[in-house]
Amino acid sequence: MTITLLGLSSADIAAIGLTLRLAAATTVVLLLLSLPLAWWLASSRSPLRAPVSALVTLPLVLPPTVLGFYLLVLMGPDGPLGGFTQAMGWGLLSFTFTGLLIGSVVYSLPFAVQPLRDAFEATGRRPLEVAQTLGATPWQAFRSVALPLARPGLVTAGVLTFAHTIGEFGVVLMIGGNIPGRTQVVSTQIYGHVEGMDYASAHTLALVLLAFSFAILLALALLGRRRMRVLP
Amino acid sequence: MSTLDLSLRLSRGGFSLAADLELPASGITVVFGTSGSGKTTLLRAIAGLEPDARGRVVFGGQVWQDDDAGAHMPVWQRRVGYVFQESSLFEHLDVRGNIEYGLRWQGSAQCEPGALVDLLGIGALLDRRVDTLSGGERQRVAIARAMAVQPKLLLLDEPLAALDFARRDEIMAWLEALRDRTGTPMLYVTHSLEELARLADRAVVMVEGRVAACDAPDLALRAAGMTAAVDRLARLRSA
Repeated sequence: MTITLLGLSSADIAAIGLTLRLAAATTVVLLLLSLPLAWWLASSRSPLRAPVSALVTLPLVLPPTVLGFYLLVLMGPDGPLGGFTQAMGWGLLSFTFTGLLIGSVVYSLPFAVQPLRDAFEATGRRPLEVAQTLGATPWQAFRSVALPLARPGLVTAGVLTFAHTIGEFGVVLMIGGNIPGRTQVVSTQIYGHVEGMDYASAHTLALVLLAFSFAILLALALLGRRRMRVLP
Repeated sequence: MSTLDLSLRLSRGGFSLAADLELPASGITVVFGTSGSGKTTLLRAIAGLEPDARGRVVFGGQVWQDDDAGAHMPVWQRRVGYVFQESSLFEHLDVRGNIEYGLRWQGSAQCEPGALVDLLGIGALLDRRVDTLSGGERQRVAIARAMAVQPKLLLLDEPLAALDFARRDEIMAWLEALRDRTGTPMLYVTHSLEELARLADRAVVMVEGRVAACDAPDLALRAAGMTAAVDRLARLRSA
């Protein structure tokens, strides 16, 4: 049975499954959100650009516990988001998968926005001007030129978001708790093992996480090298 | 005969552009001037690429811009071809993809890129990646891409500046062939007297953001007070 697989318990397996689901959902949501945001940051001349840029980078330097704390307050029964979700009859988001998803999106925001913004800035305005003189509307030019040219940035953003969400701990603990099967992800499960002095289980799961994260970053590095070899 | 009528104003930082012109829409009109004289800005404003430009642009009776009447036709509806100084090919498409790019937005107004490809001698390049092309090849592909959508007016911004002398001669020959075969009027920006001497049917001389003269090349240079340039032009032509 799965219980003996690599020495992982069924709770471990559930935590891995939930972690992968959370990371995948976060990546999808975040890419959709980051595309317009990164585009705006790369091309806008608005005075709001600097403060928005700083805001987007904030999760990079804040302790995850601070982020998680604010999100918990926001989603709680007295918070504005909590009040809204209760009024809509959805209940509270804290200690749910949706709550975790929102937390992960905020937590990984800079990892998705920055590579996309760099890619859009590297492309510059010129190819879009060319496209428009050839009859493309700005939206058509974005889809047929800016987006394909930014594909390396899009891949980097996706991979980094996925990997970063896998490694999330502080935010999850603050807003998700550590509920088996619902909000217990790999990182919090490892924490649980260590707290319970079950070092053997902690070792196994930690090794899985380490190997997985290394494999992702290795793939990204190899991908980047191949891309460079293709260019002149 | 149709004309290009324009009256454009633009100020940005320490630079201001004030251009009033009425040009016949035929042959090659060379916009000549030193760098910083506003040639490129004028060309971009005609294409609709300078959102801060104010005034009027009417081409062949069609109003492209008239700020008094609140009219502004966006770039993608003006049907101008634009060739930039660096060829600015789409790096994610091959040569064929670049040339055919504009056709997908054109609806029924299809043309036959085959004839154009022959005219510019790029048939053998169609399946190449654009980053494997030489500078001269890139510019030819860029010209073919702009011409494929059958523009009413072709705008060229120093298209030879990034090329060596041998390539310049070659591209100028392609441009002359293009003018003679398609009849598309061209507005050609340069600071090179060689290109002016060879290509210009008429010249617009720009000085510090203003149109100093618009006439036959030698007359325009004389009217703008560029006497040394007039002599060199005469020598280039007799050579």
